[in-house]
Amino acid sequence: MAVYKRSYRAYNGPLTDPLWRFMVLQRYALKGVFRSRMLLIGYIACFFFPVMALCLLYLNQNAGILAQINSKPNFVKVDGNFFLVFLQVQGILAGLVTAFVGPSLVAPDLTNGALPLYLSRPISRTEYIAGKGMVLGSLIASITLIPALLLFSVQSSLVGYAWFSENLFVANGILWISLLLMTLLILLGLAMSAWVRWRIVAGALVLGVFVAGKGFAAVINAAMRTETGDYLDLQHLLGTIGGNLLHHVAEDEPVPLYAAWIAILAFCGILLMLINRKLKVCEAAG
Amino acid sequence: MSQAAPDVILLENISKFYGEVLGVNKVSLSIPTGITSLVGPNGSGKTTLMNLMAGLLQPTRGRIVVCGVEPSDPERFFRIAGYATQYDGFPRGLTGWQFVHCYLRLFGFSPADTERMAWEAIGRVGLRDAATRKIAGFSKGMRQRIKLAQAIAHRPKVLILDEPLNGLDPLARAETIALFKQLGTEGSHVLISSHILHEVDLISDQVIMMSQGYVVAEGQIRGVRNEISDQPMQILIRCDKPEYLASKLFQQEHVVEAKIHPDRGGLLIRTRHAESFYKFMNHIALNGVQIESVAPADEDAQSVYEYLIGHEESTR
Repeated sequence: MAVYKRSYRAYNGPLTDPLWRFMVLQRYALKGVFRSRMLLIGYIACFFFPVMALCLLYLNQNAGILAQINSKPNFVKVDGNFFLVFLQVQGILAGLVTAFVGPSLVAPDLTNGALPLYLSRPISRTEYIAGKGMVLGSLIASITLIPALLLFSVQSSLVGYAWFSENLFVANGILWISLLLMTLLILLGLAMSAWVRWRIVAGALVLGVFVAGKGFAAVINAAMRTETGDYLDLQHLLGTIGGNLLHHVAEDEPVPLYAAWIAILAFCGILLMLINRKLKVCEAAG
Repeated sequence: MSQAAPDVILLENISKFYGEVLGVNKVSLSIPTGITSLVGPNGSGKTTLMNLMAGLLQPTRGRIVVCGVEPSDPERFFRIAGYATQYDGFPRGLTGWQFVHCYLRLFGFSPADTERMAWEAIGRVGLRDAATRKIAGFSKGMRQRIKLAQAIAHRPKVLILDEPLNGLDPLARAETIALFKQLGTEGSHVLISSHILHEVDLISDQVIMMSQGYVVAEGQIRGVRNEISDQPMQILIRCDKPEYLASKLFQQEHVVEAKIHPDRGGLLIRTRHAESFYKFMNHIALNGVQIESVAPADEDAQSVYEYLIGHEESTR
């Protein structure tokens, strides 16, 4: 063993900004996530639809190619509805990614006793949640927010400033819907991971709550002859909010906009409470 | 409320109850720098006391100040303290080096400093060669050492180590003890809990003996032993005429027992008054008995433990 002939001296060098230290957790966790080949393939597959949409936007404005196939420019209407459908499809994929990645974020730290070590203040539990949440956040953003904004930019550059200024609300809508979806899925993934240590069960619960919520809602609506079941359908609630932000008019909307916001925020609050409750016991007194 | 010295771990009337179950009760200690061992049977409150000092538990009553910082201020506290539990706690999938590196980065050290400090800590516990292997493949002893590396990596002033020698092979044990001694002489606090009493003797500058949630003794072993007045002191004398010496010693009132050593090269005596005994030995030495050595035979943690806790243990 090396022997250092010196007296105790504390570290007095520079420290990194405490605001961004949680990103260390994200970097380490992301490395672990992509060790799974299956996830990597699934993740790459999530870009299939954005690439198709990108090609469609290009074709939509390419008079030369369209003339060869006897079609006219703007054969697809690119408006709020286009982006709403895009985000709905990518949102489901984001749910699948969350179901796959989410359970591996908190549960292993709890099972392996690593959480008390993290929370004995290299970082606080808020930073821990932020760090682990950023893993899901970055993955979800890369398949929802970023491609949607990219498509918006491409469409703006292809069509021109008039379309851009006329549809600026779409960019705003994309941003808000994506952020809401990210928050919801991050909290859902972390809560299931914190409470259910069995990875498969936790993943199934994420899918059950997010993707199969529509089925639960339909069953409740049919059994109870009501429409309150729709409040359990997270995708429906997000769709209601998204439809409003992207100026899509639904014909018969059973959940009012304000109720959709309240339901989503309440759901996020419950998930946050669940995560907090599980992590609080592992944190050093403070 | 007393003012805590900056280099002292101060516990003032600390109690911790888990519902109605006693963890530790009315513990008041002032621990100076150096190596301090917590000794006691299972369930005596050692881990509770360590967790309280590390801020992982809140005391039901009382106050703890560690080198001027209260554990209830974890952001400042964990800058000066390193802690390793007796249980393994590692994030999944990391190598030994990543484990130490990751926590240093979370502490906020720059990438260059982190790299240097991580290798330094890993070097100090003798794990350089294995550092790039996954912790999941480590032996128990290697896991103990990488935990220790993580605890010392950010150069804490106070090290709190719960059963740090468990699972170490003899060589690693000797190296780790040498490291503790080095840290102790550098001016750090090294608090360790241990069941292995002869090692406590080797390591400790002072001991804290616990039983059933109470501190039953604290201080240097010799001081503690001297306080135990109801147990006669045992002294081993190596000399050339043990039978003659035994006959002389039996004439002294304070000597309650004298046993000739099996090799007939000395004798073991028990006396109620060590000072009178040593005076008498000076007199004997001047009367033709060749005395090779005179040494206390029960000024060690094992004997003190037996005297203070062994009886309680056996009557439980």
